[in-house]
Amino acid sequence: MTCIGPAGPGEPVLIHLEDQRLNLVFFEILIHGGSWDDPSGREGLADLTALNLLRGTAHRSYSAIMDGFNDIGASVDVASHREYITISGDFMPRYRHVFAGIMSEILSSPSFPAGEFKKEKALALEDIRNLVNDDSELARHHFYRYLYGDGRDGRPSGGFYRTVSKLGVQDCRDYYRTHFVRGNVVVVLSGAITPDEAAEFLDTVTGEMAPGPCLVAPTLEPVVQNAGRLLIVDKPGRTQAQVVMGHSSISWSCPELFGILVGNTAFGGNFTSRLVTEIREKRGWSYGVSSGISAGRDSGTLTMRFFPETRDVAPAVELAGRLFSECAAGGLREDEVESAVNNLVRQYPFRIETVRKRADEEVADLIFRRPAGLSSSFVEKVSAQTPDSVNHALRLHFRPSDLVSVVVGDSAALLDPLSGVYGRDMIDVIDYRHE
Amino acid sequence: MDEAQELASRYRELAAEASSRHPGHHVARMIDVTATDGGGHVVHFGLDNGLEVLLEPDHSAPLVSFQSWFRVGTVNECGFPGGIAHLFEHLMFKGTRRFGHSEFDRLLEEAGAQNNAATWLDWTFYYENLPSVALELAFDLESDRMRNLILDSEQLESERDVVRSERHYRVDNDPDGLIEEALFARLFPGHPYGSPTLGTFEDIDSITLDDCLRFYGHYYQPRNAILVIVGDCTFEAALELCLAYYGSIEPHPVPGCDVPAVRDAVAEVTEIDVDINSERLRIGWQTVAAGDVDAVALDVANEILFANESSRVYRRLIDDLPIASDVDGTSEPMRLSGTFIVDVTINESEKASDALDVVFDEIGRLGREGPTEVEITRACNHLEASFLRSLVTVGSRATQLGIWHITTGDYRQLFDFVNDVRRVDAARVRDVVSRYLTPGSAVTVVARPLNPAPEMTCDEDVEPFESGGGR
Repeated sequence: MTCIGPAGPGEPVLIHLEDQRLNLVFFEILIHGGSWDDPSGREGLADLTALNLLRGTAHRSYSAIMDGFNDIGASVDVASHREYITISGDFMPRYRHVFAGIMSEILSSPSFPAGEFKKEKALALEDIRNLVNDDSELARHHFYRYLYGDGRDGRPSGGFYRTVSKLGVQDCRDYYRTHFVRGNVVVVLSGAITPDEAAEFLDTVTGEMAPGPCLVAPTLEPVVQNAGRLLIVDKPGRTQAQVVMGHSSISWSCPELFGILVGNTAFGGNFTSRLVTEIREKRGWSYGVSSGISAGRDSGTLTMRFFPETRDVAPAVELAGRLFSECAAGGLREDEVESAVNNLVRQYPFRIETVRKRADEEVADLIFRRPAGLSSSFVEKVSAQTPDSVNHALRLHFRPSDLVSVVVGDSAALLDPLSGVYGRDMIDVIDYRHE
Repeated sequence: MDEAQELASRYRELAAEASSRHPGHHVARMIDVTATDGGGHVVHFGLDNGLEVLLEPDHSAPLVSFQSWFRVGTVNECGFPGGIAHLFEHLMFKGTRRFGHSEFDRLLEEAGAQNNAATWLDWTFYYENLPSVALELAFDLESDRMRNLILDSEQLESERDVVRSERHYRVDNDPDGLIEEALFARLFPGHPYGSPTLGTFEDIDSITLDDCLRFYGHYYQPRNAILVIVGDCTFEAALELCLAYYGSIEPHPVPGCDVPAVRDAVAEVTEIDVDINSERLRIGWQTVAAGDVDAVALDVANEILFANESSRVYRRLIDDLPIASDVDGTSEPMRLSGTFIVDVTINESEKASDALDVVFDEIGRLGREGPTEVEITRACNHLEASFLRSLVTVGSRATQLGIWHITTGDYRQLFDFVNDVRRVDAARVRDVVSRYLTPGSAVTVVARPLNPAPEMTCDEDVEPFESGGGR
């Protein structure tokens, strides 16, 4: 692995891992500044700016850019996250120079043509509208909204219909000018590309970008709300409900990180975990059941997810909450901890199976400011976990009274049974079209 | 003699030697060895109880994917209730005489394995991706549940509820699932390819314990199985483990299944009401079975018409008009037939019928005029890159080998794919488009919003219609 740079202040970072066995090069061009950076009232700005980069440059139209990539079989995706934007995908090494040439233009001289901006914005708005077609995504969206409100963690990265509607081409030009600068870029290359070729690629792709500093969002404690409450997102006629329960959680720097990883694996991370055994195996209430922790840079989010038939929602929600409380208070048994430790340690090679996954680990170290050597010491740190350390972590970081719950389903059938679990005054109901 | 032939010759001797160490077991036989592009090779061998094995050694990481493929899917449900192939897949995790309920998963999880299964029209497969030091555990567990599964009513009832939940999730509460089910029923009338793999709720409720036991006896046996192993495993180790764990399993004839011939679909446009916010258009054609010479030309046609941002229909519907937000096409050859399916997400306030006109207009033009050289080259590059992406992990490589071997009958066709694509010329594209993608054989489903198009609402301009307080 080569990690070059930054060569100096204001210079881009290159992360490079070579593996010539598969005839593909995977790339990721990462720009610091995702939805966290969106100004209030302009949520979706980072996303829309990144999407518009492909809509035209000083020398190529949108069609010419797409044809240029498609002619060589390259795959290019644009995505925005909380902390960063990515342009990522892959290309075949014989087309490295062609690909780098187009990418250089996209990063250094996007032209934001008005007609193309209008089309891209219309597609972005259509995507937001289409969220209501997917109950699972809808539940996730409303969970983050209900838990984090209007804080930066409660924003969807693509923004809201009302905010994207108001964005203009000048907003994107301004965002581009401040964020797409040399010092704010990380280029990740893995696969069939040598160190010299990677260095040349970096020069070609970022060489013409304007100078500028690295822009990393400030550290903030998440603002949370609605502890102990439940939101029904009413979708009449559904025969099944999507349930998300959870609360804010740990960052990658948390001292109890490995204890919580082991604890979550035993609680809801595997087929034989407590949550899956009780909800799916014993009762057949939901095909999918899981708990997970998405650790972030400053904080993270813990979630439990399942999707029971309408008649089973109230008892399933009650049971999940009870299991969570029991795990927080009483901890896990020795055999559960041992099994989870073995699972995580022995599964570790799959985390680094491919060169792309290894590159992802490097990127996570950088973006999430993970403690040095976290990936290389993963096996050692997980192996060191004991029932005491895991149960201590669970007591600290499984917080039953902070649980926030969201159910997407038919409120006419759900409200009474769920009132029996939560109390009517602890339940909010909104229409599924509510943003 | 090339390297693959030399290996085959050496492995043939090893197979004979290893078989002699397992008296009373079915003997191993070499079938072939095929070199792969990356400098490796795939060994195809079997036992004389009918079990087939595909092994691709790759020692670059201490990982292996072990997959058990069975030639049984929705198409083999004749004489059984619909959906049994899928429900039975769930029951395979319920325990055996040696390994009780949940022991299977517990042992694999402790070993660091990722395991699951999938069922489709022609096949069911079970996989364990695991550290190579634990490979023997996978052999032990999989060979055990091929013959020693224990089923009881309590397990069936619990899993029936789980499968009902899966159907609610994948079909009844998922617009894509509803549209796909409507399309396949019309695309393959009277044929099991048109039946839902999950079964209907009535099907799921009607499956009895006796049905499950009969289904197990019919299909879960070595003559109907293929093991696919990719990763850190030598031929010698795979051979020894196969003989030890599968060599004593007795085969019996796989009962024939009276599958009706695939009938032509009736070209029609069907409208269904779905809980979506704008219209969806899905068009399907019957095409060719896997291995047919026309399959790759249809892949190329799909690239030119639908599959990327430079494709003709994509460009017209999304960029030029624009009346759609997404266009996609897939060409999927199966064992007995194939499908070519186009999916268009229509913009709010636009009409699916307008998109349908564009789809047929562009298909007609490609059939008459053929593609340009640039389009052919672009399609070939796209398909080559997609092919490479499908081989990145040991698990994905094993899955590709399994699918190709089950559907074409010869896994080696997988490694011919890129060269076959490069041989497709403009005349062949015109030919397949004109013969298969005709308006007269198109089955179309138009999904219309069940309710009027929703207005997006937000805090500033609407009150939540009911609130218990708090927000």
